[in-house]
Amino acid sequence: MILALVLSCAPEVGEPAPREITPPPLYHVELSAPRLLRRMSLDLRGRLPSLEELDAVEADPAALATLRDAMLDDPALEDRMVSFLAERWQTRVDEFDVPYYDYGLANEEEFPYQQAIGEEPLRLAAHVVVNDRPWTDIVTADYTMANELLAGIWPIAYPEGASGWQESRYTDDRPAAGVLTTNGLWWRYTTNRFNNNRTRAAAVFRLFLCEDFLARPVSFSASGALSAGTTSEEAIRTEPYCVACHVSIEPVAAMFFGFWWQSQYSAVEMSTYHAEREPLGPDTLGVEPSWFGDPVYGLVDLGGHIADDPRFHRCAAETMAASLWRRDVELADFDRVESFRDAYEANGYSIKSMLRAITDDPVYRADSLTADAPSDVVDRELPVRLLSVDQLASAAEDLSGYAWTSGGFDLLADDSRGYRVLGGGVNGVNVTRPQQEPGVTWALVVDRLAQGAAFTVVANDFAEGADRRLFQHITRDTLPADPAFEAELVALHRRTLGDRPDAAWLAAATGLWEAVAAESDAAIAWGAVLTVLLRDPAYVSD
Amino acid sequence: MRVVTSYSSGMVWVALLVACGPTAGDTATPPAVEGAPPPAPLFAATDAVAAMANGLQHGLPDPLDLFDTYLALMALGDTRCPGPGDQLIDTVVPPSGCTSESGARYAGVSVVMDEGDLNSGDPDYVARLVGGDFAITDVEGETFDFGGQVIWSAQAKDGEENILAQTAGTFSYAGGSPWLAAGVSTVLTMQVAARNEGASRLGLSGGLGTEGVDLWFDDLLFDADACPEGVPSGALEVRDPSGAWWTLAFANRCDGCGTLAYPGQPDTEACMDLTGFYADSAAMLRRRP
Repeated sequence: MILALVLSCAPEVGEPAPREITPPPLYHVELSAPRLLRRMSLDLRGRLPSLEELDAVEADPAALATLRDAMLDDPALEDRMVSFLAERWQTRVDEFDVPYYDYGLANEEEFPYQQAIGEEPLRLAAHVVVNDRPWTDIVTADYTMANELLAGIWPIAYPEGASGWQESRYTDDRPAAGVLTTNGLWWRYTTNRFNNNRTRAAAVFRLFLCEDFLARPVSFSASGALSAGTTSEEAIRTEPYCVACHVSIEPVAAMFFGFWWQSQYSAVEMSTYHAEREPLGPDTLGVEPSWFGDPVYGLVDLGGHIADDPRFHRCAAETMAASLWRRDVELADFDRVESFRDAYEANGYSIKSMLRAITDDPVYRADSLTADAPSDVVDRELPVRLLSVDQLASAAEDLSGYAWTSGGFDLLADDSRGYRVLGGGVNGVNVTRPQQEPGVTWALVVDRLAQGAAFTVVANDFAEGADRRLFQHITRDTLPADPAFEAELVALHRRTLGDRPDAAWLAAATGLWEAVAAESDAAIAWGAVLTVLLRDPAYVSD
Repeated sequence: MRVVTSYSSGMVWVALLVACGPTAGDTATPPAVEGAPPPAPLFAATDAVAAMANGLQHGLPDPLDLFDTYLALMALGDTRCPGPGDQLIDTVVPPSGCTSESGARYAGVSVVMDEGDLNSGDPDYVARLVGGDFAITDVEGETFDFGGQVIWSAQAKDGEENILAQTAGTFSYAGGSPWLAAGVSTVLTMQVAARNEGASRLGLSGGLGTEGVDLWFDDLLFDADACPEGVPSGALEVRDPSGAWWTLAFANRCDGCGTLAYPGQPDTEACMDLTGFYADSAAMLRRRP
C-alpha cells in the first residue's frame, strides 16, 4: 500500500522532477569591487586591470558586471582557457617521444615545438570557448587548431597566408572528432604493447567525465585469482575487482588503435593517423567498441556519445569551477555546480555563460569567511588564492614588457630549462596539481620575476623620450616632497594590488625609495619600490 | 544485389553486377543495435568492393623489397656518413643527420639482420629484418621514410617451406617500387606454407593502408587443400569514409563469394576474384633474398 502511494506520486518516467536547489548557508565575505575586478581580470585576461577600469568600479561597483562581460569577449580569454585546461588535461609537457630535430627543426624551435604540440588540444577547446560555440564541439569539431609550426610538421591544411593558431584540418583522412583526434592529446597520453590504449581510455574518462579510474579503491589483496597467479590479461576479463573498471575501459581503449604506433619514437609513424589499424582494437582486446554499453562505430561516433553523456556537461562545470576557485570541487558544492551547469545548458552549452555564473557566485567573490564559518567550510574554501605561474608571467609581461626567457625558452612555461614547477605550476607528468601555498622555491621565482619586471619597465620608462608603459607622474628629478611622487605611489599601488594604499604604506614606500636613492639613483629607487609591490602577498594572490 | 570484382596483377575491374540481393519481399534484418544507429555508409556496396580491389592493386607490401631498398640506399654512404656497417647508429649519425660524399642524406636509427642462419645453426632457416625510425634521401632527392619494422623468414622442412613475414609501420619511397612509391601504413602478418610442387596456403592477418584505402585482413586464408587455388576463406574488410567498416566474409563454398556487411545495413552478397592477387602475393613471399 505504501509502495503504491509512493509510486503514484513519483514523476512519470522520462519527465524528471524539476531540480530544486537549496543553497547552503553562506559564510563568504565579498571582496571590495576593485579587488574583485582585479581577480576577474587576472582570471579571464591574465593581466591587471587598468587604472581607468579601477576608477569605474570605484565610482560604481555595478560597472563590474559590464567590465566582466567585456573580459569574456577579450581575445586574452583564449590564453586563460589554455592555462586552466592545461592544469587539468596536463598536455603541456616538456618532452615528447619524437624530438624537434627529427623534423629538421632548429635548436631555437625546441620550445615552440614542445609548446605547440602540448597546446593543440587546449587551443581547440579554448577556441570553442572564445567563439562561444557549444562546448560539445571539443569532441565533435571537424577541425583542429594549428600554428605554422604544427602545419609544417604534421599533415595539416593550414590557411594560406595566416599566422598563429588557426582552425585547420588534418589531411590524413583521420576521423574528425575535436580533441579526440588530435596528435597533441595522444602524444601526451601514449600507450604500449601491454597497456593497449587503456591509458587513453582512462584519459577520456578523466578529462571529459571527471571520472578518474586510477583514484578508485582497488583491493588487490582481496582478489583470490590474482594471488593465485592469474595473468593480468585474464584478470581484466574475469576478476571482479578488475572487471569493475575494465568493463568500461576496454571498449573505449579499443577505439584508439588508429593512434597505435609501430615505433614509439618515429616521426613518420606518429605524425599520421593509421585507419587500417582500427580493427586491431577489437582484435587485441577481445571487445567491440562501445560507450558504457552502447555500440560505437569509430571516433566520430565516440565524440557524439561523449557529447550526449550528462557527465560530460557536469564535468565541464566542475572543471571550470575548480579552475576559478583554484581548489577541488567537493560534494558540498554539488548544487552550486549544478547551477553553473544550468546556466551553461540554458545557453547552448556556453562556457562563457558558465563563467558568468561562476564569477557572479559568492564562492568566487569571497575575500574571507565570517568568524562563524564551520570548520568544514573553512577547510574547503580558498578565499585567498595564489596566482598561477601563468598568471604571474602574463601579468608581469603586460605590466612591464618583461618576459623571462632564455635560449628561446619561456622559463615560466617549462621545466627542462625553466622554473614552472618551482613557481607553483604543473609539468603534466609528475607534478599534476598547482601549488596552493607559498614555498621556498616559489618565493625565489617570484623574487626574480619581480626584479626582472620592475627593472625592465623602469629602464623603458626612464629612457629619454620613452613611450611610457607604467610610470605616469614622475621624472628622474621628482622628489618625495613633490605631489607627483605620492600620485605615482598611489597609481602603482592601485595598478598592482587593485586598491588604494594607506598612509603607513605610503610612508614605508617613501622611506624605501629614499634609502635606495641615497645609494644609487631615482630610477633604481623606483625599481626597488616596484619590486616590493610585485612581491607583495596582495600581488601574488587574488 | 551481387557484386563481383576482380584483382588482376595491378589492374582492377568490376566484372559483373548481378541484381540478386534483397528485394521488397526479402526479410533481411539489420543487426540489432542499441543506442544511436551506426553512421550511414558513404560507399554503396559496389564502391566498397571496388575499394577493396583498389587497395590491393599494388599487392602486399614486400618485406624483401624494403630490405633491399634499405641496403641499396645504405650503399650510397661511406665510413664517415652514415658510418661503417649497415646500420644507422645514433652515436655516429648526429640528431640532425649527415650527408655522405655521394650526396645521400641519412637521419635516424636502424637495426638490420641479414644472417642466413639466425636459428641456432639451422642451415635451412633464412631471415631478414630491418627496423627503426629513419629517413634516407637519395642523390636524386627522393626520401625513403621508414618507421617500424619488417621481418621475413623462411624455413624449409620435410619438403615444405614455411614463410613468415611481418610489415609493421609506415614506409614510403618515391624512388622505389610502385607499392612503395605509393606509400603504405601497415600492420600485416603474412604466412605461406608451400610444398615443393607449389604454394598451398597463404594466410593474411592485419591491416594495410595505401592511397586512401584502408583494408583489414581478418584471417584471410587461401588454402589450396580446401578450396581452388586463389579462392579465400576468412574475411576482407574496407573502411567506409564514414569511419565504420564493410566486411566481406567469404563463405565456405569456395566460389570467391561471401556476405558483404555494413553495420545497420542489410547484408549483400559479393564476389571477388582474387586469384591474381593470390598468385602475385605467394610468389612475392616465396622469393628468396
